[in-house]
Amino acid sequence: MRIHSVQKLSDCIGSTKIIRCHIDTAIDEELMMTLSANGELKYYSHFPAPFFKIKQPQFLLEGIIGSDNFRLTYEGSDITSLINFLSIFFEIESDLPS
Amino acid sequence: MLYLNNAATSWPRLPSVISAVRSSLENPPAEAGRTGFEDSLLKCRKAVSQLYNAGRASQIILTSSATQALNQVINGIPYKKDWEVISTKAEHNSVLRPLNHRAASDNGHVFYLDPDENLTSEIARNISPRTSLVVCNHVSNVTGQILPVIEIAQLCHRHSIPILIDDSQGAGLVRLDYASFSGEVYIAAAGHKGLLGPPGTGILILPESCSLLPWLTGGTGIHSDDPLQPDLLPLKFEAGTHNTCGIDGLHAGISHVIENTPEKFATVRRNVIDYFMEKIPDGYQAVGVTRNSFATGTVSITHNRLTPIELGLSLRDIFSIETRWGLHCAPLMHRYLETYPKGTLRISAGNETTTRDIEFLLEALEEVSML
Repeated sequence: MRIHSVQKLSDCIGSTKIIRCHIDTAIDEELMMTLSANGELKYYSHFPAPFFKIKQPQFLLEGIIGSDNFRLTYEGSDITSLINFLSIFFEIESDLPS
Repeated sequence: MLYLNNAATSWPRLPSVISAVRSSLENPPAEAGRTGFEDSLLKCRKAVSQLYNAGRASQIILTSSATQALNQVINGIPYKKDWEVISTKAEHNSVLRPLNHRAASDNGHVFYLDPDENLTSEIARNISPRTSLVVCNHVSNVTGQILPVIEIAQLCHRHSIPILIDDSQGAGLVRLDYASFSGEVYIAAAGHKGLLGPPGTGILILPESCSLLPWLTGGTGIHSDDPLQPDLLPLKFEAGTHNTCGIDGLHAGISHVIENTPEKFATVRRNVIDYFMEKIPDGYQAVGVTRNSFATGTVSITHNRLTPIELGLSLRDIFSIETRWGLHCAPLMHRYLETYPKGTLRISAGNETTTRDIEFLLEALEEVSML
């Protein structure tokens, strides 16, 4: 699986760091479970768009089943742990924001 | 999709606006001064003049945005020596930035006052012989609060100070009667919000007696041998080729407002936001609510735990509800409201928003607060 583009989501002054990663496949429940390894998964399957969030120590991953992207909210300026995490599951073809 | 971001841009577009833009593009160009056609923009000027009861069509300047209209006045006013400008913390960056640039390059000073119940008296207290301009928002784009611009304009007239009113949020919803003003009053507004026009359009209403110098100069299609900008309204302030298709669309939008009345649309918007306020879920707070906040259908909220961007993205991703989070290009207002730096989530109804839409929003906010 590949991350082919990364979009920075702005809250006007960048006080919250959120990126949206676009991948080359639609997220299914199997991928959601895989991404939740060692994290805390909450799955809201009854929502109009089935939503999940995975809490990891350094970041929060949120997505919709059936969608080809997910959001990552992270803190601090060092995104090494984020890249390390994503590299386990994805080939990263896009620059991540510094 | 449920679109609740009308304070940014009105949507959905009116069929008559789409048709006017399309027709303008499909027909041979009819650009003022550059073709053999009559001024195709006159009908739009007349519509603006009718909506604002503003007198001669030549006093209506058609611009590319409210930002351009505001810049024209802020950069075109002849300033006094060691000048001062009085403005408010409710202003959008389209006012703050031109004023700050002008002050930085010209050694001027701008006072930004709290937009509270003492605003008019505070402006009066800050007026000095050096005061060259007062700039005031009519309606806040963050909270929907209406500022007392009529009272402030009267004060400015008594002191012979020009006033620039940013009516971007009020236009098409909270009527300003230009003929009732005295003195040097300028009104700027965006075309793509309550006036229902396309983006890339704006208006500037000039007073009959106008001390303004052109900020943007260039081609006008007439007086081509004049080395300077012709001293002829409206082209004195309209250098360059017009956005004719946008202006035709704007004319269609304003015509729709005139036909239906701003009061009718304001009532629709106020009613749905009143309904929202009655049922706002636990954990959410409306910010900066005043007696007359909801005439434009705008309300800003925060949540006890979730940030505005988290709320906005969740509403969009899960429920397809479009709102706007953050500072709304009004950083001083958010400092004043103590919502800086995260800002708020702004919900802004449109002329077609229903209580059923608001019920869906309320349910979504309940669900999102559980995340």
